[in-house]
Amino acid sequence: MALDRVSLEVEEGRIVGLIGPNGAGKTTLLNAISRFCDPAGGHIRFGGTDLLGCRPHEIVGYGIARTFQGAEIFPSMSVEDNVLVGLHAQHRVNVWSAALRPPRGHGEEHWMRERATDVMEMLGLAALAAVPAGALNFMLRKRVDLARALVSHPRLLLLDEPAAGLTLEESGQLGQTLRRVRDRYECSLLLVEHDMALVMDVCEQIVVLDFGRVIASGPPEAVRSDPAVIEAYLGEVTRA
Amino acid sequence: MRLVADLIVGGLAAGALYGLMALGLVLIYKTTDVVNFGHADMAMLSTFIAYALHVQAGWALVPAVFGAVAFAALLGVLMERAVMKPARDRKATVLGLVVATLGMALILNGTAGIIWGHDVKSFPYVASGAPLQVGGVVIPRDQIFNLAVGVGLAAGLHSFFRFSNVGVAMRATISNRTAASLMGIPVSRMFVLSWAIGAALGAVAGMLAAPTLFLEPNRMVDLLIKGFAAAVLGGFTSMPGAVVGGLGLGLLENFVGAYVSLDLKDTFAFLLIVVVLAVRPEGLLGRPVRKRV
Amino acid sequence: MRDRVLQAAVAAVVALLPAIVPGYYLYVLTLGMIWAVAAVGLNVLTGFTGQISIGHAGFVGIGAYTSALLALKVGWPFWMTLPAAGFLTAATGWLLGVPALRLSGPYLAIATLGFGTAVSQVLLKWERLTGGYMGLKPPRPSLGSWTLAGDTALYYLTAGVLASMTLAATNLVRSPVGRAFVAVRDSEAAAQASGIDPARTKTLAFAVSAFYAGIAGALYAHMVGYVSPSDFNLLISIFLMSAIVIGGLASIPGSVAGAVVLTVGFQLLSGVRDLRTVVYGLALVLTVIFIPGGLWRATARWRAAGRQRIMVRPSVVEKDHAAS
Repeated sequence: MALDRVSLEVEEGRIVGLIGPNGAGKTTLLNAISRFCDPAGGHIRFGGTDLLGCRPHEIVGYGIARTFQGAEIFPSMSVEDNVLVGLHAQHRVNVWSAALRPPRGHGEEHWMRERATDVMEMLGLAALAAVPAGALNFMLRKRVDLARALVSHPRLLLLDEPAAGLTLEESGQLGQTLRRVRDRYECSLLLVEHDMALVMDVCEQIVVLDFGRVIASGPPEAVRSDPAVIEAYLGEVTRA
Repeated sequence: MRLVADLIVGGLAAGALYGLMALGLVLIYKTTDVVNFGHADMAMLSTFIAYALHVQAGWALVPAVFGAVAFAALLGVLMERAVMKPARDRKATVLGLVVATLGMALILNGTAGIIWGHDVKSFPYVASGAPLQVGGVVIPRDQIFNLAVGVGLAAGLHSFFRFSNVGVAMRATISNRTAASLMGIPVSRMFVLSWAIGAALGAVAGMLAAPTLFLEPNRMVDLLIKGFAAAVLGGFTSMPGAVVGGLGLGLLENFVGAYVSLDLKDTFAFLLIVVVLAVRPEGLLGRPVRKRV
Repeated sequence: MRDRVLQAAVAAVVALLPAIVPGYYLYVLTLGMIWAVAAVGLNVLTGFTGQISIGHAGFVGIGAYTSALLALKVGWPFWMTLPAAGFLTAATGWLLGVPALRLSGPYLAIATLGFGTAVSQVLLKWERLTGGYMGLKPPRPSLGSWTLAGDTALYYLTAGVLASMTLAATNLVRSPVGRAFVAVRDSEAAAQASGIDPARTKTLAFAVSAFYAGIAGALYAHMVGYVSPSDFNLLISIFLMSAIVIGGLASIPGSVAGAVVLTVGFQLLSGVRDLRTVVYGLALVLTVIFIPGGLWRATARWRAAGRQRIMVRPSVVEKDHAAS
């Protein structure tokens, strides 16, 4: 396992950026928190629970949602259905009742659709609700991925390189969107990101990871001038 | 004691044929990511070609056998070029590719039925003559021959991959298709080649099995399932594993038939598939299959 | 609107057919509808959840023998053996689903192939229970003292069962459960991150699918009045797979249409078996290469001719995104 002695805390309601050179273990850390992989030891606490006992699908039940680097979506489903999947953990439907009654228009799904519409409107996806997600371009796919994660109203939202593959202008918009997300849903954001402009713009706290260790942590201005950080990044340049 | 020795020799001889089937399946799978559900029907049709050349056209047995192997290789080329490549070019899913090989199996099976009918035909042993005596154990010549051919072809294939330029190019294709094509290896020709070799191996297994199975379009399905079982036992991604799996399956099956229940002997391969896949999907010699996150 | 009209037209034709079609063809159509039940179930598993099964005839066989044995040895009436066959087969499907969890793609195809072949072998060898290759002769369905013996009565019974099973499947795949099926197929990672347990979802799909196969098997046993192990061999599994591939993966109406058309063809060509095998193989290969979505989708435009429909072209989507 690539990680070693990471130690990191995310305060409620903050936007935290996780940065570091390639191979520092950023995505691995995100995968460990969302339980897609196991760290060799240590603890991951969220609120009062240790998440290490959880399996990936149980995480969202504790209020943690995530997106994926390559924009994991359900290509054959409409955008709206993609978003509705994000609500899976919040309602129980048994197979019998699902088979025995017509699906559209009954009360139980009403609030789900409202919530999905709300998220889609905020992310500018409302007009595309009926479009198959597989027909969208990469940037819109990433938004669908984000909408699916956000619709569960998580307390902590993990974002794996939300700006990767976006144009300069698009990633500028993304910064605003992320702030709106935080204000609107009152959640904490932890983002792994290579796009320094975005990180410096949007994050209130930045954690720098190198070879599995936290080498710096603090507000953007402090981190920017931290000698250890400069060394790590310059080191990368010389290595390359 | 005699019985045990008989069981071992008979098991290994049958196992060598399962191993050959498995070897072809694994080779095609490793190179092209396709599990060929038409493998047995390709072997069956090739055996019928040998039958037609030998019994119907009067060729001597050995040239007829080589003719059938050549036919099998051509059939393999045809499968890849006329079916699998167009399907892949149109972005067929794994399911689509599996279904395409099933479709080919049906086409070949029906064609053999139309030409040769469903009367059971006998097919001669390639190796005949008085059985050999080794330390009190009587070994039929064909069993020795099957084992020798099976092990010999496996060893030949191994050195082909190891020492010939084409073999190394195929190995490169297997381990990393993109890198191989960037290095100038004609990947699509490697696909064709693996289908040709795989089909030829299957044809050999079919012709060696035909004397005991008898020849009829539907009789070789068992060989497919035994080949799958052997391949799965060996891990499906390992060529030595396929041979070891085949020999192991032959032995296990013989002992189960002798000491547990003869009825179970036929069902055994299927049970083995399900159990191995459930307990150790990577088989005896295969590498664990990694899941992508 | 057009859909409603189409549905009503289909219902009317199905209801009126017995008045026009001679007995033998009615029997063939009944068979087609029985296989349609199994095909709908297989499509829930393979088309919607993405789990290949090339041993589905094994499930149908388990259902058929369960129902036949309960009727013959325990004396249960049809209305009890039918659901019993469904539930027992569903339990088998659940059990098979557990080892199948670790497998995907071609490995699952091999494992299910092994399962299907094992079932027909066991049915053949367990002679004391199953009668071996002699098979079993289960009684006609009856309700109290009323026995449904004629082709017409059996036809209506089967049509009724198929209609309700199709409706239930349509509801299911549009429900959150169905969304979970498709989610697991499309992206297991995103499904997990949304709280869907892929293991539970897949075993559920196996169970649902096996339930349909079990019901189809029970219908088959009592409609045909005779079952033998060779009725549920590998060829039948391939036949079922062909029905959903040619009809249309992840399409409920496609499964029904595929199964009915293929069964009718199967019976019509029963005099030229080998040619039939070639034709079916050719149809499979050509479908995979040229119409991977299956016939139902290929004819969708024609069916929707009168319907107002917003076509989504990538260019429209791009423009939308630029504007936002």
